[in-house]
Amino acid sequence: MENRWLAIPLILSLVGCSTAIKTRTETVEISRPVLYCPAVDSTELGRPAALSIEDIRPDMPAGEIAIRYKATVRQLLDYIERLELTLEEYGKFNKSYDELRQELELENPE
Amino acid sequence: MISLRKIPKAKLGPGSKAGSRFIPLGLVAGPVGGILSALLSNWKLAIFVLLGAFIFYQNYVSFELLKPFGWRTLPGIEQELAVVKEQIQACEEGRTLLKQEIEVTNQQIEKWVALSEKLQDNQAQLSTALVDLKKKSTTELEIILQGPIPQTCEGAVKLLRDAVTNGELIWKTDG
Repeated sequence: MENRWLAIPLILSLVGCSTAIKTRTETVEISRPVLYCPAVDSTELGRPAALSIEDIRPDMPAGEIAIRYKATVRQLLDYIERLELTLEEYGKFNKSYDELRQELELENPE
Repeated sequence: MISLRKIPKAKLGPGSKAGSRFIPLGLVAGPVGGILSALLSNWKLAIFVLLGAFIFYQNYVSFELLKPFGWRTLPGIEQELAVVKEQIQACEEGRTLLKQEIEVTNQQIEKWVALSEKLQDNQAQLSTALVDLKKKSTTELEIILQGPIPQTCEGAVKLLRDAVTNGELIWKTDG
């Protein structure tokens, strides 16, 4: 009978120490940069479909010809104004991108 | 329940008839047969010795002789554990560093997103401004084309001259 009591600790000592491995999982959100450059629709620039001087005919009086020339110059001036405005805004876009790029480079120099 | 029947030692000796029932052929005589007979007659002691040897092997032997059979020893496992701990520590440091880098990158991307949204608003305002300018231009063109038509050549020249002087066709130089 005493041999049984002796066997118990011996058997217990054979039991391996098994500890479950604790795996820690952590999720980190990663932002994905999507470069997007806003662009103006070319139709919004309002390029004149036709200039007024295209209506000039050989038998047209001088007064009507003068009016059409005046209207054409007006058309072109307005179109140039829209183009310059667009270029000016695109210049601002580019400047904003460049300023942010420089700011980030200063924050995180490689 | 299994019980072992104790066999008298005298009957299990080498060459005895009783011993030949337990020991395979060819091992009856000689030292092997004697050892086996001794083990059988002292089986409790043999089991105790085997158990002690196994416990010693498991707890104190770092050279894992029986590893191919799945019998590991504590020192062997501890050695592996130390290596794994180092690897886990390296992984943990790498994970922390990676997380920091990802957070920095995310912050940068958030700034880009904010700028992109701002520029899209600006682009929408530009589109509106272009549409307004186009409407204004169309109106001005209609006014010119529907205005009074000069009937003479001098009147036509005057029309063009006046358009410049009164600022209708002025070239803006202020940008």
